[in-house]
Amino acid sequence: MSRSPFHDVAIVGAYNTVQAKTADQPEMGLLLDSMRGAVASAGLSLGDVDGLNVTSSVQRYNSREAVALLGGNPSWTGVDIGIPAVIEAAFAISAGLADVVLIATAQASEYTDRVKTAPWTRPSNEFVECWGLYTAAEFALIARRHMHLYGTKPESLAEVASAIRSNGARNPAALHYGREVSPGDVLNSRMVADPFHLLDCAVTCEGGAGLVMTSIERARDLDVEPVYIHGGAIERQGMAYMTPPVWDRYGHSGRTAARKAFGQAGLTPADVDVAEFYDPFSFEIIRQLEAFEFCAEGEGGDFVMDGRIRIDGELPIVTNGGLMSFSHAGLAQLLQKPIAAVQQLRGELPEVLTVPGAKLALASNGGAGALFCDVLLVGTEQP
Amino acid sequence: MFIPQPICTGCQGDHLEWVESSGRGRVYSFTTVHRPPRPEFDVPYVVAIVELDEGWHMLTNLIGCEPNSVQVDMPVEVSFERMSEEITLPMFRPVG
Repeated sequence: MSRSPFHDVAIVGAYNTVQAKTADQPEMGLLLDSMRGAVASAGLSLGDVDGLNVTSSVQRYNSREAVALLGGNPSWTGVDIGIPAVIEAAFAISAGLADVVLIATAQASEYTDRVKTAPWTRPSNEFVECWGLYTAAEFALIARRHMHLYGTKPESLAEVASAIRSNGARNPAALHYGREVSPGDVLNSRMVADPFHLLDCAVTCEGGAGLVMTSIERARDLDVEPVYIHGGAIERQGMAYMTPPVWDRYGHSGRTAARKAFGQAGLTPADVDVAEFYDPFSFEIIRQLEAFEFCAEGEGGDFVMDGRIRIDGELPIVTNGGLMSFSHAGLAQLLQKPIAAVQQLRGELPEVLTVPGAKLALASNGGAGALFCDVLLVGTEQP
Repeated sequence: MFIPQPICTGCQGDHLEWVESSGRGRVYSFTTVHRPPRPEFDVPYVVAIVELDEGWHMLTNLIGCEPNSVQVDMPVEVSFERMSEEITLPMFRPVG
């Protein structure tokens, strides 16, 4: 196949602000921290940025407003979030619309002493609200069907949550740093929406994040290790939290995206050294392993056992602690998956969480309960 | 086709009409919720996807049974539950 235009693009900066249960500064402050931190980690300054994608969860600050902060210099602005924002920026750079793209996002002042639940987990419409449905229950409906079809056990879900939370326990930047969680702790935590216990679910918190991308030519001139984009694809299946999450229809969400991404890369799941899977709930890891074809259908529950997905295992996953332990902040958490992949490959995570010799990382966003799933492949070697 | 859409999601045609369902089906998947999104819901309650005999799926609550007795493939039928003067909801109960 012809060379992918993504292969002309590299990620050169990746940065997370402090993540906290409630941020200690207004959203604008957190956003500026994200912007400055991301360009600094690329060895660049804000004056070098000529493509900008800025979002904020509460104030809804946007790229066109943010262009003014940079003196009107950026001529290209992006609109998407998470992995699609990275893909959108890669298009812009490969088409020559921008040379240095900064993607930055922040969430603050979302939570108060009285309200701690993420608003996007409580959809309000006539097809779900009257049944007492919300995100955990939607993803539980997907998990339950898989357990029925394949005999997947709660112990496998607990192993996933424990493996991810153990990584976060060893990451000083994680919200739950120091909180080691065993599979037994997961199974003994209170039930939220069967089969999900409390510790099968993501945390909520606030924070910001930023990513900087440029052409591989420009990246060569920078004093940082570039991380190359090997492949990426988006998959959308309709209105989540409205349409019933039927396993037969949505259980493989992300397979098409994964096949496209691996196709662009000329690689297979066997080539992946680290998987920064999207981890809103424990079962989603088992599902993605099958959807992305790391294992056969129905085998995800067995795949995750015996230490295979732990930091010293065959396929370490969610190495920064992910949504379950590191952070689950507004729009930032979607961007934090590619950031985790970049930081892992550049050796910027704590040594105890660094996978020796890792060259290729997968990052994903979304899941079956959400009716979307995006995949990004990044690596240390130029494709 | 459910949920309702302005065109057919299979052929993108405009010629849609309402069809009455038998109201009978099977539990496709379910979850027992212990932590509600709002305090108005009494826990535990069962949220389910029911596969109707005509082949379509809907989200609903299962009532008239113990949460720990619910199983995938269990036969159920619709039960219109009057919640208030203005609101009646199509919930499902086990058959037999």
